[in-house]
Amino acid sequence: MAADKVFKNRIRRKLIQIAAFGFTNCHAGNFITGKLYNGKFKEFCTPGLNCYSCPAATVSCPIGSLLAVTGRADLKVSFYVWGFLLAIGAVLGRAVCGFLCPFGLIQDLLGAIPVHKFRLPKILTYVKYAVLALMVIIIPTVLILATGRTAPLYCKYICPAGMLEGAIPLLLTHESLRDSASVLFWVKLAILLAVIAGSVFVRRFFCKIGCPLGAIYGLLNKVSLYHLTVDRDKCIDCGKCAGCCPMDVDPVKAPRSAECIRCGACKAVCPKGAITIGFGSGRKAAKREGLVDMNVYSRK
Amino acid sequence: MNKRKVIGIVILIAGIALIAAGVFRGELDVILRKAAVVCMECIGLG
Repeated sequence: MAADKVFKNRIRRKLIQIAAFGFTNCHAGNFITGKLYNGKFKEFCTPGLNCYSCPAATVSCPIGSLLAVTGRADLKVSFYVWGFLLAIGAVLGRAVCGFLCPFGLIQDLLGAIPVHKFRLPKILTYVKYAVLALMVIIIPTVLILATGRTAPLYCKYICPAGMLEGAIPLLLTHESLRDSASVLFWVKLAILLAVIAGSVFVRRFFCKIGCPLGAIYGLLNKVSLYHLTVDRDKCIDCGKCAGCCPMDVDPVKAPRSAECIRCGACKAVCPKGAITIGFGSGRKAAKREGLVDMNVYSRK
Repeated sequence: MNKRKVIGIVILIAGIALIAAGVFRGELDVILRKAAVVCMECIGLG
């Protein structure tokens, strides 16, 4: 029964991830021509990490868009992208990472390679907040205010998604671009390879340590309307939920953890049905699934 | 309604207001111009 629930959850999530990946990158034919889609959909952001210089991309990367607007001396800050990230994060939190992020799906596929998985020290999960603060907010803002010019720093120096989805396909199709591959290209290629290797041995490696979007949505996990609830009356502290979590979260101790991507693995594995995920308090979902009596359901 | 839910809804409304402000001052056009062509800087080639 539990194995059936785990399997169903895995398939359901994978189908949603593939659909999101497909919508975000529905111009796959452009990988052959090397052209970019340049229609009106590119005005809009995708909630997940997906480079807008990817030939297949239909919509824009929120981090790239944020830095593009920040880099305009007449605008300096993007109301649109910050508003988009706040609105999406307030509703879904890091469920975006679990279900909608194309780079998250790539990491999940790498993580499916059957090798021993390692856990990262918790302190490394704070690196992404430093990346967000320095490379996305503080340095670009200081540069634009002080000099009137700034580069998309995160995209330029770190983003492995841009390297994988943008730089490499474009270099393969545009001979003229190959002369532009400087030391920076090789540094970024090394970062990408490290992220790929890391994702094989550590589940959701880049989500945990380096993704600025994960940092934003993680902070909003604390208040997001779509959230995880644990019924402590039902919980038997078996530890199965913490053991299966790809983000190394213990849902019983921290159901609102900034690391939780709402993937539902904990809910599927829970033998007592103590975990619910949804927009409500958990009572309705629990009752719908016949897991608990409404009168005895409580949240400590 | 609990406090977290209220904060979530306030952030959602603030987000929607910011989106509207961004659209009003023409940010969509800036994003489209940047995303419609290969951004050499964005992919570490420039």
